[in-house]
Amino acid sequence: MANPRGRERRILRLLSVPMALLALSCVYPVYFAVNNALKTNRNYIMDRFGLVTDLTFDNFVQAWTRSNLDTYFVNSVLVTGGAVLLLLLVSSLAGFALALLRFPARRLVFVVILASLMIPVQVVLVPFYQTIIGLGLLNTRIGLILSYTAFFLPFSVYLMTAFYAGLPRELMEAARIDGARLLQVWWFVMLPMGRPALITLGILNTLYCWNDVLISLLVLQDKRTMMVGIAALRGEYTTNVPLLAAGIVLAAAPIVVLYLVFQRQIVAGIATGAVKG
Amino acid sequence: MADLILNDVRKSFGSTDVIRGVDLTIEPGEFVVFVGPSGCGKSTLLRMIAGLEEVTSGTVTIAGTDVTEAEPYDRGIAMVFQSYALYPHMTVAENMGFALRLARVPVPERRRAVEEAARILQIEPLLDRKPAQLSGGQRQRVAIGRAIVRKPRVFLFDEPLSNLDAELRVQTRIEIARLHAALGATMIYVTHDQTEAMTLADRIVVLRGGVVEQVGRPTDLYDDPDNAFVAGFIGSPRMNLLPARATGPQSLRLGTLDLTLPQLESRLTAGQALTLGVRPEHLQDAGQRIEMTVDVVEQLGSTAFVHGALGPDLPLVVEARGSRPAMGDRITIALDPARLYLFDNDGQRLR
Amino acid sequence: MTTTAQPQRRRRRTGSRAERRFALLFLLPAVALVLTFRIVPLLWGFGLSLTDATGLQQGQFIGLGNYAEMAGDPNFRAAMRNTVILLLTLPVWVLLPMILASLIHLGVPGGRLYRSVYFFPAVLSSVIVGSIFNVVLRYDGALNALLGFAGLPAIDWLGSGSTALLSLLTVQLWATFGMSLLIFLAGLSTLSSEMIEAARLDGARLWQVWGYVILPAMRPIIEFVAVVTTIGVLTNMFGLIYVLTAGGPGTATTLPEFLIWLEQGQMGRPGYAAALSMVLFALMAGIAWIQIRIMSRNAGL
Repeated sequence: MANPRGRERRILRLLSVPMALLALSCVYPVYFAVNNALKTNRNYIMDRFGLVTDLTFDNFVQAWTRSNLDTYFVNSVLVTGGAVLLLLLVSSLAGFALALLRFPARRLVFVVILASLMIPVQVVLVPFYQTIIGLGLLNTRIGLILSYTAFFLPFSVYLMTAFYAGLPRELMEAARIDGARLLQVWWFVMLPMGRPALITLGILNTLYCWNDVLISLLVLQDKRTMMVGIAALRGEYTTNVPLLAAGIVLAAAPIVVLYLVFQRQIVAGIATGAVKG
Repeated sequence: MADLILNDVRKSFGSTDVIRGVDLTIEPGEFVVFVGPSGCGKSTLLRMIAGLEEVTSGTVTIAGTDVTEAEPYDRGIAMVFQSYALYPHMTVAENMGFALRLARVPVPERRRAVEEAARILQIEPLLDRKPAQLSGGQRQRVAIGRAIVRKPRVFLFDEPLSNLDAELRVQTRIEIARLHAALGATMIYVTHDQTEAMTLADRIVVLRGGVVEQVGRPTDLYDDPDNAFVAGFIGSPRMNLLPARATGPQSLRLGTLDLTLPQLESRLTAGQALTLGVRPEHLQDAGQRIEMTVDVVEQLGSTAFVHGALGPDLPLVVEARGSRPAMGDRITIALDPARLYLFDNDGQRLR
Repeated sequence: MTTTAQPQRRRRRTGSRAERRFALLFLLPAVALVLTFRIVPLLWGFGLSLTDATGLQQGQFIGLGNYAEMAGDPNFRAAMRNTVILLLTLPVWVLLPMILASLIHLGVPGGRLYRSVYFFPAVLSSVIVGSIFNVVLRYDGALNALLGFAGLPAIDWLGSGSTALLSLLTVQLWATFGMSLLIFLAGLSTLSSEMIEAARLDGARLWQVWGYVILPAMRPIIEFVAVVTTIGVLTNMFGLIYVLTAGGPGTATTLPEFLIWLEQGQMGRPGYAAALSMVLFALMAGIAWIQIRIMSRNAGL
C-alpha cells in the first residue's frame, strides 16, 4: 500500500467524513430495529425518531407468539439447515469428481452446471412452480430444501471444484494406494481437507437461504419462512411499527450473529469467488 | 516366480505415445531403478505399475496375477511420492496406519505395526505430530513408514529424494539401501539422478522416449553400454562422445589423430561416420599419447576435471588424479584402445 | 522391423472404470437437481410461452401470440422502460464502490472499520431492508424529518411516480455496494505493492498512482463487477420491490421479474408469464455472452 504523505493525508482525512456518514447509515438499521422494537406503540407514535422511553418486550412476545413468527422461525431453521447441509454434501461430491476424477464429458458437466447460473428462478418461475406441484413438493419443507439446493448449487460446485483442483493430486493417489475406495477417499481425505471452503460455503449459503423470499413464497405457501412472515407482518400492521421492528430483530438476529462471528470467512468467500471468476 | 512382469506395455495420451512397448521382469527382492531424462516416461511407467495410470495395451502381472485392470489397492503395492503426499489433517501415526484402518485391522494390531515401522525409521517421537510440524526429511521418513506398515509385495518410489537438500539426500539414500537389505522386499525406484541409480540399484532400467534403452547391473551399464545414450547417461562426469571417421576395418581418425582398435570384432567401412566414446577417468594411464591445452579446471581436491579440446569441435574432459594442472598448462593424455567405445551413426554400440 | 504390428488399443476411454462409475455417482445429485429445477423447466417454459395456458387449463398452442401481446402491453413496456433506466444508472453502481474501495486501499483513516460496516447491509435480507426503508421513506418517515430539520420540503419518496423508482434503486444500491466494494478490495489486494512503491519512488502523487497504475490494472475487476451487478439488479430485486413498493405506484417500480410473478400468480396467466420469462432469459443470456467474451479475452492476455 502506498503511504500517503503530508497534503495527501489531509485530503484523505477530509474524505473520511462522508465515508463515516455512509458508515453510520449502514448501521442505522440496527438502531431503527432495536430502538423501535423496545418502544410501546404509544411511545412510537409520540416520538418516532427518539430513543426509547417506555421500554417494553411485549413486541417480541407478540411477534413471536401471536404473529406466528415462532413457527416461521422453526421453518426457516429447518429449511436453511437442511438446504445448507445438502448443498455442502452435493457440492463437495461434485467438486471432488470434477476436480480430481477423470471421466468422459467432464468439461461438459462443469459447463452445464455453471451455465445454469443464467437461469435464475424468475426465468423458470412458471414451469418451476408446476414442477414443484407435479412432484408433490408444494408446501413441503423438503421441496424448499431441494429448490434452494438447486438454485444455490452452481456457485458452491464452482468453489469446491476450484478448491479441490488446488490440492495435490498425489493426496488422492496416496489414499487410493492405501486401499481407499473413491467414496472413502472423499470421506477420509476430501471432506476434512475441504473444511475451509466448506465453512465459507456453509456461511454464504446460510445467508442466501435464510434471506430468500421469492422461492419460499412459491414453494412453502401455507407454512411460511421467517422472511415471508416479515413481509406479511409489514403488510398486516403498517401502523404498528414497533411490532414490525421486533419481527425484524428476530428475523435478522441469526444473520447478524453470523456476520459478527464469521466476517472474515464471508469476506474471503466473496473474494475467492471474484478473483477466481 | 517373478514379482513383476511387464509384457509389451504401452501408454498413449490421445495421439501421443508415452510408453512405447516395455518388457521387463523383476525378481523377488530386487531393487530396480528406472532412470532417464525428464519426459522419458519413467514416472508414467511406475504409475502404470501402481494402477494410477491406465495401460493402453499390454499386461502388468504382479506375483503371478494379471493386475492390468486392477485398482491400485488390489495390487499389493505401496508407493512413496515425490511430494510425500501425507494427509495434512492426520497425525503421523494416523497417516501411517491409514491403510490398515481402511483394511479394518483391529486397533492394537494397527498400533503395533505403526510402532514397529516407526522404530525402524527412528521416528517414534514424531507419532503424535501433524505433517505440517515436520521437516522435509522427517516427512520423507513418514512417507516411507506409511509404505512399510502395509507390508507390500512391491515398494514403488517416485523420485523420493528430489525435494531434499543435498546432504539429506545422500543420508536418506543410504537409509533406503539399508531398508532394502533389512526388508528384502522388491523395490522399484524412479529417479533422474544417475548417481542414485548407480548406488541403489541391483538393476538399472534406462529409459528414453518411452523405450527401454538398456537393462542391466550398474557396473554392466557403466562398463558395457549398449548405445551412446546409455554411455552418456551413466557415469559422472559423463563420457566424452567425439565424432570420428573410419579409415579402415579396424582403424579410425579422430581429428588429426589416427587410432587402431585391434580388439574390435565388427568391421568398419572406410569413410563411415562414427562416435568415439571415452570416459574422463580412462585418459591417464596407457595408450596413445597426445598433448592438450587446459581450458578450465574443476578442482575437487582429491581429483580434478580438466576441460580442453583435441581440436575444433572435439571438446574433451579428462580426470587428472594426483596432479594439479592450471589453466593454460599443456598436459599429456593417453588414449587406451581397450578403453574406447565405438558407436555407429545411430548411436548403437560397435563391439 | 518393418512388420511391426499396430499395437492393439484395448482401452481408449478416459479414467479407470471405478473413476468413471464413481464420478457418475458423485455428480448425479448435482446434475439431477440442476436438470429438474432449472434446465428442464427452462425448455418447458419455452413451450408454455407458446400457449395461452391459464391457472386452470392446459392452454392451446398460440404460436408467438404472447410475444405479440407483449408489444402492446403497457405493463410490459413500463417494466422495460424501468429496466432501461436501471441499466443507465449502472456506472454509479460500479463507480461508487470502486472509489470507496480505492480510498480504503489508499489508507483513508478508519478504512478497516468502514470495510466491515459497509458490508453489513449486504448480509441483510431484502425483506428486512425493504421493511425498514418502507418506514423510513414514508411521507412522515425519518428521511423527511431529517430534510425538515435542514429546512427542506418533504417528498413522498415511495408514493410519487417520479421518485419511487429512484428510491428503490438507491435503497438497492445502498444494500449491495458493500458486496462490490469487497470484490474491488480483493482485486486491489492482488496488485503488486512493489509496482505501487516503484511508482511512488518515481515521484508519483497518490492520485497519479491511482490513475496511472491502479486503475488500468483493475480493468478486469471493473468488468466483473459490472456484469455481476447487472445480473444482480435484474434478478435480485424481487424481495425489495415486494415489500418496499409492490411495483407501484402504478407500474413505476415494476421490473420484469416482478411482472412475471404478478402474471403467474395474481393474474393467473402462466403462458404469458412464461413468455415474459423468456425475454428476461434472453437478457440474461446476452449478459452472460458478454461475460464469457470478457473472461476469454482476459484469459488470453
